[in-house]
Amino acid sequence: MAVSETTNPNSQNVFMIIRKTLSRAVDMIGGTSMLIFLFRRILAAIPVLLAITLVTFVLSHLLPGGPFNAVGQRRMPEYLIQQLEEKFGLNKPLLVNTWNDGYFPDGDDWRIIGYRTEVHTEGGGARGDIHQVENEVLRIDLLDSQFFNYVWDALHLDFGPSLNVALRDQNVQVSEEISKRLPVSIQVGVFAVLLGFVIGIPLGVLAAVYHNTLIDYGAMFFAVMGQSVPNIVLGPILIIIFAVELGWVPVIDQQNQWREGPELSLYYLKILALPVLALGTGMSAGIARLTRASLLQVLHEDYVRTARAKGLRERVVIYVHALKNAMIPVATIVGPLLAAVLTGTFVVELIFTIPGLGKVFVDSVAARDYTMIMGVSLLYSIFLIAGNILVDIMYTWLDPRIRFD
Amino acid sequence: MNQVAPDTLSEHAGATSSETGREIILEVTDLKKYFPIKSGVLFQREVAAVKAVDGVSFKIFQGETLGLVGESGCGKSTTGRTILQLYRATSGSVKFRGQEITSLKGTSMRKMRREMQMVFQDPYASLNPRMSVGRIVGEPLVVHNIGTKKEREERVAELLKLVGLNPYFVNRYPHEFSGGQRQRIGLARSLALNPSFIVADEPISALDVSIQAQVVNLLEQLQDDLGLTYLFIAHDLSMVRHLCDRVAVMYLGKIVEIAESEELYTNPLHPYTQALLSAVPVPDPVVEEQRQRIILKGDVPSPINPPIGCNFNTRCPVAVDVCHEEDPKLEEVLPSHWVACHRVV
Amino acid sequence: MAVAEGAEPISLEEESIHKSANPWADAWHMFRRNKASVISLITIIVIVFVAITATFWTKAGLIDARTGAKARHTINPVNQTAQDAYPDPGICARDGQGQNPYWCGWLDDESLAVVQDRYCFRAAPDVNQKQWCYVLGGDSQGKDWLSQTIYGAQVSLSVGFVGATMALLVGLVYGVISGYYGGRVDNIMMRIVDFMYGIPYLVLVILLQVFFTEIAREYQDSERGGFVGFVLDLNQDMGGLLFLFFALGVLSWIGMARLARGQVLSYREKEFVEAARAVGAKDRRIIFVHLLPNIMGPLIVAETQQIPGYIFTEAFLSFIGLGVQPGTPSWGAMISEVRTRGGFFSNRHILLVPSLALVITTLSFNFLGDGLRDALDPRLRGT
Repeated sequence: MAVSETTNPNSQNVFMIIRKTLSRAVDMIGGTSMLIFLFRRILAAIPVLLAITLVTFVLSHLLPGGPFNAVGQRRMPEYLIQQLEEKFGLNKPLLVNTWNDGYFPDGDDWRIIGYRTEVHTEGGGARGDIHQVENEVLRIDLLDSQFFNYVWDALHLDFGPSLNVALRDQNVQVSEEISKRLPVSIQVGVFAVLLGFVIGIPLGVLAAVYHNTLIDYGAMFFAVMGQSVPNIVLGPILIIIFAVELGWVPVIDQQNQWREGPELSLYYLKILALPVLALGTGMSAGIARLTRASLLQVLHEDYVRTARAKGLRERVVIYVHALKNAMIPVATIVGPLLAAVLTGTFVVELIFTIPGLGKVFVDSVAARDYTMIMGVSLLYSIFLIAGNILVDIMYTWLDPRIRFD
Repeated sequence: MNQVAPDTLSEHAGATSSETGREIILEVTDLKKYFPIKSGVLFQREVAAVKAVDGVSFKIFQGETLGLVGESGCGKSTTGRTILQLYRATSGSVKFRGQEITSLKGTSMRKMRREMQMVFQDPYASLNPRMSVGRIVGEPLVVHNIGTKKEREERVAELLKLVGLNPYFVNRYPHEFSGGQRQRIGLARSLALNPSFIVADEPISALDVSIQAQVVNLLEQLQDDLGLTYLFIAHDLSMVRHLCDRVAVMYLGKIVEIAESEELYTNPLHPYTQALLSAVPVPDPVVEEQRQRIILKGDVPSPINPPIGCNFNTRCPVAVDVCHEEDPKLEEVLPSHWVACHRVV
Repeated sequence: MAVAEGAEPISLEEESIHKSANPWADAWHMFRRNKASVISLITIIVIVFVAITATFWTKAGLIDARTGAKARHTINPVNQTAQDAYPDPGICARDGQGQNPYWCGWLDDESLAVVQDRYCFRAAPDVNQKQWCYVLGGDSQGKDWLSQTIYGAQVSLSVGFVGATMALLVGLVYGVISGYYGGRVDNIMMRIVDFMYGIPYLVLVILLQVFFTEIAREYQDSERGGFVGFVLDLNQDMGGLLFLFFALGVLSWIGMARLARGQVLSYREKEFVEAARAVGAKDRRIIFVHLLPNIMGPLIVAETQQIPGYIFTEAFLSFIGLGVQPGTPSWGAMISEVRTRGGFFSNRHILLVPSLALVITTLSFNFLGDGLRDALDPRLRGT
């Protein structure tokens, strides 16, 4: 009691401070309606994610063959495949377990729900004799399938070990591998988005300010060009020009920098340059067109005309009054753009042999590495959904006229 | 809410002994139209309703023009559309020549639609921009499979002439016409099926003042020639006085006063009608000098949560306790003059 | 019936000389004013024509991947003296035999060697074997690169057109039903679309393509009848395109469905639709006569702008070996040979020829899309 009495005023103070900070934070991100909106959107995303998990799971398991069928060119013996499948739980039914024979080794009956005696060994080594311990465990046999086991584990943030032969022998977990490869993709993606904005916005502004002049036509021709040259063309051309002919950058990453993690050095910038350029050019084209369209529209609005009528200099009109509002639609594409870049770095990663997430995914599909396929797809889905939510938030943030309903 | 039994209302509303001789073309009894508001993350459920029309009763006699006036958002347009069954009524009845039409479906509904038509407010939105004038005006004939192609073409030309347009225009598209001309096209379309009753939903409010008179004169002319009956929805009170035989005033989904046109304008009884009329300028300078505007305080309450008791009690300058408790009934206080107000007895 | 007196008939006789302004005619008029779009349209028509008549231009087929049969190629062997008894000396033969092109005299010895090396091929190392020379070179297997590129146009164009048409049709039907009928139907249909928006496009396409290619490969060795066999056979004959269409189409329609729904919603409450309902028009008439003609413009524009996307995706899939079946010429697959055939360093025509074809095609579609947007979707004019 004494303790609580002495801390009481203090804790109340702390409580007040927390409350104030919280309410200020809530105000900053757009008031309670925004929070409720965010909460609802996240809630709505859960069933979507579950459904996506189911689809990807079924699809990846439908692929002919399995992760253990062969090592390199050699086929694995049948008994080894069986043993491995049992070890990783791949012998269980895919979606719903309706077995009542063959699977349960202790001869227990299959039941939808009930207690089961599980036996496991304890002791051995320094801890004395080996003895067996029996445990009563509540089991739902119906859900003892590959899918529900995966979902259950995933809810505990356990995405399982990689089944790819190159990784499973070292017991590499999917989450480990992803956390190693994701930063590579993110670096390329984020730099590319940045480059896209750095080139795209000035280009779009120039085109709009000098509407229907040569500058406009030139900028828009560049933009259409940028949208028309795919990465599988631009990538090799960049390699030929900058790596082979000019020799400014290495053709491939000889120092294994991608794998060892980034390090701010000239070499790192060099190997980053081409993939970022390849990804960023196409993006800058889209951003330039959007900026131009948006700015042109705003320049025809009444308040811009008023600003001009007041006698403000054209530069002030454009950069102070118009540009801020013209940036609203441009800013809203950041979310989907990031999502698209992160889920779409496949091309660039394969051309420039960057060991990023896209490369991992393509490899894991080839190796029937189910857990890795699932892990990467789920991550991509989360990116996409988050990107979509981000658009809506950006809209309200930038344009107070839009309300959450 | 104080509901009035429909049977008692239908005996009274709008009709008086002196009018019993005239044929009733349309009878609306306790008509309600609620628009549900839905919400929900995954599955939508109804959380509230906009009570756009909340128990409206009146009668329209053969060959007359009934004006329906009120502020925007008071439910007058919804009333018109619900009568024409463009919206399904939430409850209440609409009888056209004695026949209940709220329950009609399919073929019988289509047959009924030939009798009653609508003229729309926005001459730009009411014509399909991808159809030529000939197709627009002839569409009702096609829908009801009337006549051969040749006969339909003749009828379209005749209709265009009737509304004062050159039949030469049949192959033109709506965007080539002015607002007034477009409104004539819309009128020609609504006349194609020879209806006897027309709901005119603010047909002139989107037009220039100079054009308004032309269209109003055309409407009057057509009424005389074709024996039409109009429900004329408007917020322009002076035009209503000129055109209408009787006028009903609506406020927040309810009718607060119905009377003969002249009677209503010279002797408004409901405080809301008085306020509305006080805003109309009078062309006589002597009277205009004496005109005193009654400024209503506050805003129109939300039709989602109308006030308890009388709808108007939040803004009424003469409201008393009973107005906050009981919903006033529409009662005949003078011959042919019906008012829903506790203070007028 | 009398003409209303209050309003004098408005005569616009003098104006009537002006031709009827049908909205579609208006759009065509608008489109024609955009030179880049017109040139693009002509380019696309030429490409389509060349692709359809590919066999004519290349005179013979390519190496058949399934049977491994020798190609009866070729396009434009510069020296057409195939029936000569003499072994063909090839392009710019030094001994002056054959009919050398006029520019042979401009080359020095070194360039001559390069030209011989890159453009002329022998079916066997034997010097006496007949040698083929290609205008745009060939690959090391003796496949003519130009005829491959022409055949590649068939794949890219059909992927673009079929992808766009499927997305437009499915999305249109889905969006119109959802938007027009509204209520619970709309709610459920839009939840499904929301769900599909969360699926990463390339992930699904890659998974499906791996599945299809594996199935197709397994099928090669076994006999299977019935519908499945028929579909697999058809896919085989189409060089894997059938399944590719499906994989590309599974998700592509959802954007269109949203757009169509939005358009329907914006028009559904328009007064002219209400007017049609007031005269007793049935749903079918309202949808086909009143809604569709008004909403088609923006949808067609959006879908034209999507075509380069389908072409890119096919090229990328073929690039990583998950597109058309091996041996079917596709620009993406051709570009991928740049990695295996040393295209970075010497044989750059391997990259440049299909790349150029790809870029010209997508450039044309992009310009065409812009022109169509200006013509059909006036709200977005000039953006």
